[in-house]
Amino acid sequence: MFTLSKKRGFAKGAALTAAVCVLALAGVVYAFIANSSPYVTVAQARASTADNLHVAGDIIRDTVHQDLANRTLTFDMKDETGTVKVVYTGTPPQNMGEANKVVAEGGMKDGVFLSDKILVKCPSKYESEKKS
Amino acid sequence: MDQQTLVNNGFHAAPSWAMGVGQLGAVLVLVGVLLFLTSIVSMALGQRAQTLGKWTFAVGCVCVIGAMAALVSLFLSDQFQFEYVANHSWRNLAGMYKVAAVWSGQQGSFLLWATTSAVFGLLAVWRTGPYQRWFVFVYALFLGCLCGILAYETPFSLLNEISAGDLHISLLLNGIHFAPPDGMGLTPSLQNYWVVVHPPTIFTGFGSLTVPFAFAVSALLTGDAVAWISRVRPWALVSLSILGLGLVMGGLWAYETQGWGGFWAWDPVENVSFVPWLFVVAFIHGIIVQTTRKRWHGTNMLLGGLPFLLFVYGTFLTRSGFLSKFSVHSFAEMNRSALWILMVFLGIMVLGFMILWAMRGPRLGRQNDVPLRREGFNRERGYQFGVLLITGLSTAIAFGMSVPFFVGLFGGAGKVVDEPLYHSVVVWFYIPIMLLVGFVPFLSWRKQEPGTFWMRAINIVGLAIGVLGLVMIQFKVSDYAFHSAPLPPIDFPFGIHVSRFAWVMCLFGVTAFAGIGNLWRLVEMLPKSPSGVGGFVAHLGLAIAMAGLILSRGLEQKAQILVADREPGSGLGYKLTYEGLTSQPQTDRDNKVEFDVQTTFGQKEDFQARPGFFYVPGDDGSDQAFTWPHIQRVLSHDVYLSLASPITTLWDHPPTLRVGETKEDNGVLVKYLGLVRRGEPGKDGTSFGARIQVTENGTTFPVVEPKIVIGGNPDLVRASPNFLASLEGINPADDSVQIQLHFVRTIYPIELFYKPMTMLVWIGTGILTLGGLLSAFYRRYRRRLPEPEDVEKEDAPLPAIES
Repeated sequence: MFTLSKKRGFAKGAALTAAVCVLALAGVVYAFIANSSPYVTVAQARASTADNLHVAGDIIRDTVHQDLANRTLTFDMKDETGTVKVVYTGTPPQNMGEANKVVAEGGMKDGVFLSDKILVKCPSKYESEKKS
Repeated sequence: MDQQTLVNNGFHAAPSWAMGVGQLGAVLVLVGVLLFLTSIVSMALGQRAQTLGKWTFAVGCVCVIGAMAALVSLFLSDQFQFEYVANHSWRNLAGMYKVAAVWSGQQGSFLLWATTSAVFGLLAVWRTGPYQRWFVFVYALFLGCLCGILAYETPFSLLNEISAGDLHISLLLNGIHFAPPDGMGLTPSLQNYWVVVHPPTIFTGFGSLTVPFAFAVSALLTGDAVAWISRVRPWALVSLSILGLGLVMGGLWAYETQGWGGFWAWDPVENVSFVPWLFVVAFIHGIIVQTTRKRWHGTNMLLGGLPFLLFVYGTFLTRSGFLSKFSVHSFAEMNRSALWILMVFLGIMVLGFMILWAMRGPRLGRQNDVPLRREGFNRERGYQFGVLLITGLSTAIAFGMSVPFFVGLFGGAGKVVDEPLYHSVVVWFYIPIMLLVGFVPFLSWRKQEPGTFWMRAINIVGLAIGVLGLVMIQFKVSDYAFHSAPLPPIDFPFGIHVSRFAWVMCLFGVTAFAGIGNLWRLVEMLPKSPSGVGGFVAHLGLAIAMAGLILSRGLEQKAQILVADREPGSGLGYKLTYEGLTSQPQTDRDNKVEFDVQTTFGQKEDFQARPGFFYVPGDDGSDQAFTWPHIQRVLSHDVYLSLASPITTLWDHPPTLRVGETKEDNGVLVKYLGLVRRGEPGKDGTSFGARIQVTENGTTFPVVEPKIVIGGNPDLVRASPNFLASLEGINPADDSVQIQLHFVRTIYPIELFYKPMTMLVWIGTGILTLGGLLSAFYRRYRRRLPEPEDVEKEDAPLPAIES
C-alpha cells in the first residue's frame, strides 16, 4: 500500500514534469515565433537590418547581369512598394531563366539586397492554373 | 469548329469503354460514400446491425480500390479526354512514369491516400474482435469523408473544352466526346524512379496510421484498455517501418535528384510525414511498457490516436493553400467543398478524440495500471523521459511548420521557419534523446544493480570518446583537411558563436555514444535471445544514419566552378575538364555532360562525372534546362556535382544599343556602328544588318554584320574568338538595335560539394530497416494468448503480479 508521503511525492514529480514540459514548449514557441523569417515588401526590406528576410517580387528582365568572374547574379526586383537591387551569390535555380516572380532570401548590405537563396515561382506549363 | 477540323488537328472520338471506366470510377466513389454512411449508421445502431456494418464497410473499401484501378487504367491507356489525365501525362511517357503521373496531382494523391487506407481497413477489420463495432465506425467515418472529398476533388472529370488564346473549343460535338491528341506531360523533375516508388510507399505509411487511430478510439469507447495493444502492435510496427522507409526514400530522392546536396530541407511537406512518424515511435515505446510492465494504459490510447490526427492536420495545412507561398512544393488550390469536408472532419476528430480521451483515458489508466513498485530510475523511467522528449520534439516540429498558419491566423504578415532555426530548436531534443537511447537499454525494468550499470556506462562513455577522438584525428590529417576551407561558425542565442567543427563533433560524440551503447547491448544479448535484439539493431542503425547526416551536412564543403570546353575549372582540390555531350539533340532526356575530374592533391581518386542535362521546350518558345546531379561515392565521402543551367549568352536579355553606343559586360565591349538595310522595308526577304565591333581582353576585332531577314531567323556571326553575335531586334524610329553575344563554347556552372561520410547514411538506414523488420517479425500477432514473448526475453520474465 502506498503511504501518504509517497503519493504526495508522486504528485510532486508529475507536477514538476508538467511544469518543465510547459516551460520547454513555451521556449520552443517563443524561439520559433521570434526567429522565424518574415516575408516583407521591398520598402520594409530597405528599412530592415535583419539578414533572414524573404522578399517576393518581379525580376526586371533588362537588369539581369551575370558576373562570371565573381560568380554573382545581380538584378533589380520590384514590388508595389519599390525596387531594390539584388546581388545573388548562389547557383541560379534551374528555372531561373524563365521566371518572373521570385522570392529572394537574405538582407540589406551596403544598399543592395544580398541573397544566397532564391525560390522561383515559375509559370510552369505542367501545373494547370485554372481551378474553380 | 466542326468535327472534321477537330479530326484534322489530331483529335479523336473518345472510346466508349474508356468513358465507361471513367464514369465507373466516379460512381464507385459515390457508392463508397453511401456504403460508408450505411456502415456508420449500422454500427451506431449496435450489435444487431453489426454484420451489415462490417460488410458494407468491406465492400466500400473495395469500391475505393476499384476507383484507383479505374484511374490507373485511364492513365495507362492515354485517355486525355479526362482533365486530370490530360494535365499530368502524355503519350510518349514511359509506362512507369504514367503510373507515377497518377499521383502527381492533388486529386490523385487524395485517391492514393484513400486507397492505401482502404487496403489497411480491409486487412485489419477481420481481426478486431470485441473492438470491431467502433473500429469500423471510426474507419468508415474517415473513408466516407475521403470519398466525399474525392467526389468534389475528382480525377474523373471530363475535359469539356480547350482554350487556344481567346478561342474556346468545345470537345463535345453531336453527342461524341473528342479527346485531344496528347496531354500536357509530367514535369521532368518528377520523371525519376524515386517518384514511382516513394509516393506509394509513404502513402502506404499514411494509410496505415488509420488502424492505430481506429483501435485507440475503440479502446476508449469500449473501455477495454488492455486487449487492443496486442492487436494493434503489428500494425503500429508496420506504420513505423513503412512510414520510416518512405521518409528515407524521400531524403534519398532529394539527395539524388534535387541538386542542392542535402537529404532533408524541413519543408512543410517533409515535416507533415515526419511528425506522425515520431508519434508512432513514441507509441511503439508505450506499447513495450504496457506489454512488459502492464502500465501506461491511459497514455497509450492517446499515443495511438495522435499520429493519424497529426497527419490529417498536416494534410489540411499543406493542401489548403495556406502554405503554398512558403513551400518549394507547389499545390493546386483545393476545391472549396472538399476543403470544408476536410476541415470539418479534422475539427470533429481532434475535438472528439481529445474530449473522449480526457474523459476516459486517465481513468482507464488508473484502473488497469499495475502500481509502480520500484522507485528510482529504472528502465520505465527512461522510457518515460524518452517518450516525453520524442513527443516534445514532434510537437516542436509541428509547431514550426504551423508558424505561417498561426501568424497568418492572427493577422500577422507571412513568416516562415528556415532550416537553421529548425536545427537550433531540434538539437535540444536530439542530444538528450540520443543519450537516453545509449544508456536506457542497460537499465533493468525492475531491480537496478547500480554497480554493474555504472561500470558499463563508464566503459561506453570511454569508448565513445575514443571513437570521437579517432574521427577528429581523421578529419584533421586526412584528405578532408586539404579540402577544408574555414567553416562558418554556428550561432547560438545571446550572441554566442561556436566553431562548427567543435559543435559537429559534440553532436557526433553523443550519437556515437548511442550507437556504441546499443552495439554493446546487441553483442551481449545476441547469444541469449537472438530474436529480441531488433530494437538494439534499429537504434544502432539510427545512430549510424544520424552520424552520417550530421557529418555530411555539418562539415560539407562547397565551391562554385565554371567549366567550358578547353577551359577547365578547379575547386576543393578537384580539376574539372569538359569532355563532351553524350547525345544530340539536347532535348534527349538521357543526355549527359561528361567531365573528367582529377584530384589535384591528397589521395588520387580521378573519375568521370556525368551529370544529366537536357532542354525542355517552354511555352513561350524559350527552352528550359533540366539537370540531374552526379554523385561520386567513395567510402569516406561523396563528391556531389550539381550542374546549373548552362550559360550560352553574355546577356540574359539582349541590350538595346543606339548608333555609336558601346556596351560592356564581363570585360567584353560591343560597339554598334550603324544599321545596313537591303531591300524594301516591310517586305519578305528584306534584310537588316547591324555593324558591330567586339573588344575582348583589350583586343579589338574586325567589324562584323549580323543580319536579320524579314520572315527568317537571325543568323549567328563570329565576332571574336569567344563570341558569336546575333541581331535580335530593330527599332526603325532611331535605328537602335538589340544585340546578343553567344558564347562559342557553352559555360557550365557547377556547384561542387564535398560531403564527408555520406556512406553512413546508407549503411545506417539499411541497418535501421533490418532492425525494424526483426522487431516486426518477432512481435507479429499470434493468436496464442497470453503471449510469453510479450515479456522482454533479455530480462528476467515478469513474475506473476503480486498485489
